[in-house]
Amino acid sequence: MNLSPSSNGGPVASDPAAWTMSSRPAATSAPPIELRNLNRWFGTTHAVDDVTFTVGVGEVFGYIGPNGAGKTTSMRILATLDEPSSGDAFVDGFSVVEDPDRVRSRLGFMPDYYGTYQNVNVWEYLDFFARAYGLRGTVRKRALDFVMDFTGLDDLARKPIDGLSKGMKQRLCLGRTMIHDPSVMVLDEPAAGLDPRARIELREMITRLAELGKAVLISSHILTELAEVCDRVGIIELGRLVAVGTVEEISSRVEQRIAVQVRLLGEVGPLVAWLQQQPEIEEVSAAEAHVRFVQSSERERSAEHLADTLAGMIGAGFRVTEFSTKSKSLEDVFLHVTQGRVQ
Amino acid sequence: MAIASDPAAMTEPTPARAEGGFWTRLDALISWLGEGLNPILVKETRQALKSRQFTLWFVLLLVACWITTVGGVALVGPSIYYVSAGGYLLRVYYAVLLLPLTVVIPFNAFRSLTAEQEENTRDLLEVSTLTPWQVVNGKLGSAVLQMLMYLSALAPCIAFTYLLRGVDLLTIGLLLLYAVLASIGLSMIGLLLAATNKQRRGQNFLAVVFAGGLFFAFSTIFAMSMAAMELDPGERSSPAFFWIHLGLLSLYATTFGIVYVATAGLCTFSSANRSTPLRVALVIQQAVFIAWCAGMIATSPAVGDGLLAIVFTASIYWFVAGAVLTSEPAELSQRVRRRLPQSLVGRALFSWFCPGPASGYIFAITNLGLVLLLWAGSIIWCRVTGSMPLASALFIAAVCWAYIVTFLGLGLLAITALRKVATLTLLGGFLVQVLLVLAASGVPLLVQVLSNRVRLGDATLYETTSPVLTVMRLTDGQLDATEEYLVAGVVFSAAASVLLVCLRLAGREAGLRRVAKPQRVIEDDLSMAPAAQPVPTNPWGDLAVRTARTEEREG
Ligand SMILES: Nc1ncnc2c1ncn2[C@@H]1O[C@H](COP(=O)(O)OP(=O)(O)O)[C@@H](O)[C@H]1O
Ligand SMILES: [Mg+2]
Repeated sequence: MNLSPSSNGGPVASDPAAWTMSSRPAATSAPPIELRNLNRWFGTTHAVDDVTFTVGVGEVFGYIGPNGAGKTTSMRILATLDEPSSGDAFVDGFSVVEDPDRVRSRLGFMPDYYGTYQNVNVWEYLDFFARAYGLRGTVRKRALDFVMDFTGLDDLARKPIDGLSKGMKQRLCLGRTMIHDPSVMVLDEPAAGLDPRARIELREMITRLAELGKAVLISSHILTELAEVCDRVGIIELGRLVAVGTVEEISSRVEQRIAVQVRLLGEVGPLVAWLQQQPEIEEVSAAEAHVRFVQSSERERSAEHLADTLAGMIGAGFRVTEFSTKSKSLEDVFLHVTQGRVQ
Repeated sequence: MAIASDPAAMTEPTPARAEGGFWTRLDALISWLGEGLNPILVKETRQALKSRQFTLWFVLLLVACWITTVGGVALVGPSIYYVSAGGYLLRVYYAVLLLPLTVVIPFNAFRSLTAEQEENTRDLLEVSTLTPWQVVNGKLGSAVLQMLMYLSALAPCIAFTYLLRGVDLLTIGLLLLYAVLASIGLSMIGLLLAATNKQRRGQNFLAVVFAGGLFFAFSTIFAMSMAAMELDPGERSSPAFFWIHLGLLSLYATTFGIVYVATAGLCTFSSANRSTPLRVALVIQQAVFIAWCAGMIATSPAVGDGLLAIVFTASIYWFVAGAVLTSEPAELSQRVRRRLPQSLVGRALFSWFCPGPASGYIFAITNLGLVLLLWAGSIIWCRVTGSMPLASALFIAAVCWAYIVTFLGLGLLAITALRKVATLTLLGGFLVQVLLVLAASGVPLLVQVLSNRVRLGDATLYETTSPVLTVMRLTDGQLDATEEYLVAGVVFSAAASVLLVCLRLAGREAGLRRVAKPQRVIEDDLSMAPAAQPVPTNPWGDLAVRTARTEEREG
């Protein structure tokens, strides 16, 4: 697969506008994606609870939450497949409720299922969706060429889609989603079930889509899967958006909990006893020659705090041979932000 | 990059173009033709050509024809030169043709739409920019294409029957026409059924019921076609035969229009105006109906006893249509409100074509009123009343109208009230309307059962709640003058009071003002058509009727 069409310098690759079906007006003030107080009830289930956020041009926004958090529901509303109980969502400034037709020409939606036809090969499948989005003649040919190349499917053009591997099907779906050169792409759990290599390739493709100026909303229930590609993430739980920002912002906003491991000469028992008396130190545990504990503090003061703890230990006469910290992983951030409740 | 190195690879699916010259030009011609084709039609044709099921049916059909031909010729033997065996063979061929046309093709149309749901591709079609009309046209188009394949396969056989003598061209033409119309109509119904059911649950049940219905339709159409074939040539060229066919054809065409519009409406997003096209289709059918009735009254003095049939047909028709229209969602979307008629005249005339339950109510009762007025006018003008005095006929028509006004109005109020506490779908609203009539019709029965114990002086008062019973009594002349006055009093005052209440609702709906298009939409319209001239304002206000067409153009 060749993921970089620019390497060849073909007309399509160097000028993304050549692949568009119509020249769009210059960017308006409206953000490509905006959810405004979006609510969706299913009977008594509040699947989406007052969600508000925007995604800018060329931005990749990660929508992270456990299963059943309401990601698919809000994405389906954004894709005009469902309707909000209250609130509204906007794509390029158009309401998904009142102007779904205008939204549809600007949005590419990739659901979390494939949606395939029988007796259709890769080329025919993409050709059908290109026609369905109103691409005609040379524009369609260009779009097909571009997309097949982008997704690396050109060698499989004549292959029936039933026989494709999971990774290839996923690429085909991505190709279908971008065939009409939408300015907004909504991808629901695209990385689910992919092998590591396919996942890396998917990440590269998403990054390149953002470089082409598309606003990408991408969901996952695993934060690490997306941390590298996302400019910002929103963490959703029980339909409520609990945190929005860059990964760093979110992890800094939560209270810092730093895991520390200490190795020392001699008995560990006294150190455990000493630590248990210190404020802001928790989860003290001891193994043969080392002690583990967690120190919590404000982010700005955490380094100072650690130094104080170390100084205190030495001052109390412990002969420390090793003092190491492990900063919080993204998973920790995620676990901390969400409560682990499901509905 | 693959595009630059091998531009031919992706352009077309068949490898036939390398020959140059003629093939290249043919290919260019085909792709030029293909550009304008419906995307769904293109896709489904490609699928069908690879599908085993289609090949199987096609081969079966050919084999059946061959067996028939060889068997038939063998049976007749040398006498083939002077016996007119054409009619007999044609019957067999017709059965062989009708089976795929009225069963296989409509069922395929139904399945192709439900399969989109099962394979989750319906969502993908919905988020694409395909209009609902394109979806329906594509599905219907592929049914027509299959039909053409079957027809062309059978064409030589049918030509053979003509050579064998015993059938004339008119018969062959008529039989083929029946088969073609039946196939398209049943396919359309299949699409409607598939579109109504968006859940996967009832789908298998629906499929079985529909398949059963198709087999029934197959045998009915076959029997009726054979009956038409039995007619002797004199009858077949009589004017009555022609008029009946024309009448049936116009019924077919207008009904087809309604089903088509309804199917497309079911495939459209909910904030779109789905009601106006349906109402226009209903009005067209009604206009055709009026024209036929007027023609019948004016030309045949023997119509007499059929006069009331016209009234009953129109009443039932507008009750059913009104029950659907009054169940429409009460809230008009902002999108619909962008196109409401603005001027006074426009609002008075065209508000009733705009979506909304109360406007649907007014629409149904004014249309029924219009038919009945025209009917009354033409029977007075032509002086045909049959066996019944003119006054009685007019009275019965007025009672029918009053019943429809009352029941649709009560249903509308019930639906409006129910919507305050629960969500009610279109089907739910329709059922409320039907249940109301059934409940009211049950009252006389109840009274009869109870009257053994409760002595009631006059049962007629209770019977007026049942429209069917009352109208039957009136038609048969079972009521005396005082009873007729009683009926008139009850029915007309009920209608008047219900109408007054509903007019308030309708007034509120018609009073809705147009809302401005959002700024972003105006910007977009400008960018799509930068050179567009400003549209001159219409002195009649903006015709609501145009909404459908304009919206389609937008989409
Ligand atoms: N069509 C539906 N009917 C009823 N409940 C639904 C429907 N779709 C989703 N839900 C409920 O809404 C909640 C959110 O679901 P979903 O958006 O699919 O979550 P996610 O995609 O984050 O896993 C879940 O509790 C789910 O059960
Ligand atoms: Mg989901």
